[in-house]
Formats: sequence, structure tokens, C-alpha cells
Amino acid sequence: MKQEDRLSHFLNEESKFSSTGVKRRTMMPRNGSVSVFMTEGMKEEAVWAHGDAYAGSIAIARADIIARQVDEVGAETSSRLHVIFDNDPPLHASITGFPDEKDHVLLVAQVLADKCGLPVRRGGPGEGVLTQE
Amino acid sequence: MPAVFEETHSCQLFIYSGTTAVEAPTRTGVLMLNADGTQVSTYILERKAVMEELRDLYRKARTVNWDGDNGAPVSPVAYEWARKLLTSVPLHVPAPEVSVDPDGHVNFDWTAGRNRVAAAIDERGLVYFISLVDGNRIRGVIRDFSRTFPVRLLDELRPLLAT
Repeated sequence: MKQEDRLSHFLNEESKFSSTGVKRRTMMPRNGSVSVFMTEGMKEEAVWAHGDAYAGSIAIARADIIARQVDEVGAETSSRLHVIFDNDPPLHASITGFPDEKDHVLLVAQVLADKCGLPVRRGGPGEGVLTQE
Repeated sequence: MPAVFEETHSCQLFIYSGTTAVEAPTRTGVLMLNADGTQVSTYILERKAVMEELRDLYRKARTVNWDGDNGAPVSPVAYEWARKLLTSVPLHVPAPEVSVDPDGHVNFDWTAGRNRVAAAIDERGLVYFISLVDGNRIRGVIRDFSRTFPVRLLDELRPLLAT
């Protein structure tokens, strides 16, 4: 994975974002990590289709962040935040290295959320349906 | 004091930073008055709505995997602590947005532009807070919350109230 690669966390609820951006709880870790997909270089339709196929439900928006920014958030918040690419499911990676203290986790998640871009799916579910060959 | 209480069941004296006010239910809702009887603000629907939202969130999140993503449940004790904290929010502070974290803690968020203060409360009544205001990032834990809204949290919220 390159430093400038885009990582996407798929959002399936409107409560996870607002007109002002990605909400903090979206970037709160589950079992110590935040699940993302390496979507760099993919066409928009393919990104949505990938989320539908592998992120567990139909995506309505994404929290996009550059891999380098994850490291930057780690440095800014004195945490050991980093990305681990595991490709299971395909293109899957995890943002991990969250601190142990809850207040510290809140801070890291908030700074992460603030860095995220928020592409919202325009065509609704079904746009970019993954075609099987 | 003017006769503004058409139907008063009980009054609550509210004192903060030298300001004394009376909070009282009326036929139309809850009224907050300054000591001289002038009206400070009505917050009837906003507070009621947030309290109901918290209750609805608890109903949704009180079982394991409530979010379909292995979210930890909000325990009855954590819910009670969250209710206490929400109830204690002073009247001059806007009602927060409430949500539940994957670890089952209830969150309260206050936002004003890019400035934000957030607090999460757990089943022990510990209040974890962050403050991102004017480029400063502060975090901490309040260990002595019981009934009164934490002064430390109020201090962090003060810049948001001014905007």
C-alpha cells in the first residue's frame, strides 16, 4: 500500500454522517480497529459495488481517507495509528493502533473523522452493481 | 415575580455562575425564569425530544449486536448514568446530540461550527470527554459525576455557548 492510497469505510446509515461530515462514532474502533477498503484507482461505480459486495450491507456513503493521513492522525494524537492491509475480504485493510484510554480513543476517532472525505452515493443502491463474469 | 405560573407542580432552583433562575412546569411546558421574573428561555420540546431519543437509543442498543456489527449493548446502569448526565445539563447549554458507541457507552456531542465538545459515559458513571475548540485538543476523564453537571465539562463548553 502506498502513502497516497485512498481508503474507504462504507457507511450504511444516515446517522453516521451529516451535512457537515463524517461523525466521530463512525471512526470508533470495533475490536480495536476500523474496517476500510483500499479503493485507490477504482472507478466510482466499482467502489460502491465493492462496498455492497464486501462491506456487509448496501452503502449509502463513504468515509474516505488517505493512508498518509492515518499516520498523520497517529502523530498528531500521540497514538500508534496505522493501516494493516490483509486483503480479506478483497482489498480489505484495518486502521488499528488505537490507544487504550477511552478519552484518547474519542480524540483519535474525532480527528480521523474530521480528516475524512464524504462521498455520498447519488444513484442510490444498485448504482455500480458488481457484475460477475 | 409576575404571575406566570398558570399551573405549577414544582419548581427547581437553578444556580450557576452567579445566575439564579427558577425552572417550573406550566400548562404549555417548562419555563425558565430569571430571579426577577423575566423569562430566560423555553426549552420544552428540545429537551424532551433528546430525552426521548436517548430512551429510543437505549431500547435499540440494549442487546448484543444491536448495530449488526457486534456492538456491545448499553447496560441498564449505563443508561441510568446517561439519563442523569443529560438531565443535569444546565438550561443555558443546548441539548446535545446523543448516540451510542460500539462499546456500549452513551455519547453526548455539542457542536458549534468546527468547534466541538463530546462526552461519553460508561456503566461506572465515568465521563470521558474531548474538546476540540479553536485548534486546541483536550481530553480527560471526570470521575466524580453524581448529579450535578461537571464543572470541567461546562468550562469546555463555554466557548461554544459564546458562538
